Amino acid sequence: MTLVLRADSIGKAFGGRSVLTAATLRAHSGEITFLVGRNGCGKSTLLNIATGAVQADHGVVTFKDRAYLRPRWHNLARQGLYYLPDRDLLAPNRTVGEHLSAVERQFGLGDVEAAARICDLVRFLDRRCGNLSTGERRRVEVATAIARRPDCLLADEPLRHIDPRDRTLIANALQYLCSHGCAVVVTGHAVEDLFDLADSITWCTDGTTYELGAPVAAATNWRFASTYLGTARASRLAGDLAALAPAT
Amino acid sequence: MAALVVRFPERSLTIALLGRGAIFWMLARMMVVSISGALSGSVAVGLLPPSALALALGVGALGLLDARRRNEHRFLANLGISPFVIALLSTVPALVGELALGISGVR
Repeated sequence: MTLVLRADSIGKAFGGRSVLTAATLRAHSGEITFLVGRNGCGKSTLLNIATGAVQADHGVVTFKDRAYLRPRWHNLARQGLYYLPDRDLLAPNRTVGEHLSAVERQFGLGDVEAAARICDLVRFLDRRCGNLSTGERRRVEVATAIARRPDCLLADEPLRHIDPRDRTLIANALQYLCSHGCAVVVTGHAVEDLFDLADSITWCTDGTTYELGAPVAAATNWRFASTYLGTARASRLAGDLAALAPAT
Repeated sequence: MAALVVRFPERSLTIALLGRGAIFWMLARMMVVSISGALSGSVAVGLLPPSALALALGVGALGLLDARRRNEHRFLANLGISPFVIALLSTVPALVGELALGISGVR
C-alpha cells in the first residue's frame, strides 16, 4: 500500500485555544482509516488542514510525495484529493445530475451512472439538492466522490444523522472507492459501523494522534477503551470483531 | 509549477459564472449611472479607465461572494477551481463591457 497523504506535526490554535499540537494523519491507498476522537478534539480541524481548507500554525502536508507548508484545497483537488466536509458541499440550487455531470466533465474519469447506481440516486438525478433530506444529500456527496475517482478521499462524519439503510449504502460506496485503490479517511462517532468498515484506527486526543492499528487492536487498547469507547462497548466491539475475523 | 496552472471549470459552470458576472456588472452600472445622475443632474455613462477597472474588480469580488452565498465554493474547490478563477470569471463580462463602452466613446 502506497502512502498517499501524510500530515505531519500539525499544530493549530483558535483564539488562543490550542486544538492540535503535534497531530499526524496518514492515508494509504486501498485502505480505510478511521480517525476517531471525542467532540472538539480536532478531528475536523486535522482534516481541514490536510485538505488545505484551513492553514496550520505548523506542520507539513505531503500529498503524492509532494510536501506543502501551505496546501490549498483546489491545488490538492487537481491532483486527486476529494474532501467531503461535515456539511454543505452541494449547491442547493443545482440538481443531483448537474453535480455529478460537472465532476465527470471536469475530470473525465468517473462514471455518473455507476455513481448514481451505487448510491441509489438514479431517481433523484433531476432533483435539486436543496430539496433532499440529510441522508440523501450525504449520498449525493459520496456519489460525487465516486464520479471523481479520487486517489484520496477525506470524509468528515459521513454517517452523521444517517439512517441504517443509508449507512450501508454509504459504507458500500466507501468500500467501492477503497477497492479501486483510493485512500479513504473517515471521521465520526458511528463506532460500530466505522469499526466494521475501517482497516486502521487513528485516535485523536489531547492535541495529538495515536495510530492504534487494526480495529481489533484498537478495541483492546485499554487507554482508548477507557477514555473514548467505554469499557463495555470496547469489550463488545472486540468480541464482535474477533467473531468477524477469518479463522486461521 | 503545478500550483501556477489555472484551471477553469467545465462549460456549464463557466457559463453560469460569466452570466452572473454580466448581471452584476449591469446592476453595478445602473447604480453608478443613477447615483452620478442624481448628484450631477445629468446622465453620464462613460467612466474614466481607473474607475472602470475598479468597478470590474468590485464585480469580481461580488461574484466570489455570490459563489459563497450559493454554497458553490466548496464544490468548486473539489473540482480544482480556485477562488481567484471564480473572481476572474465574474470580472470578465465587466471588463469586456467597460472596454466596449470605452471604445464606442459613450459619455
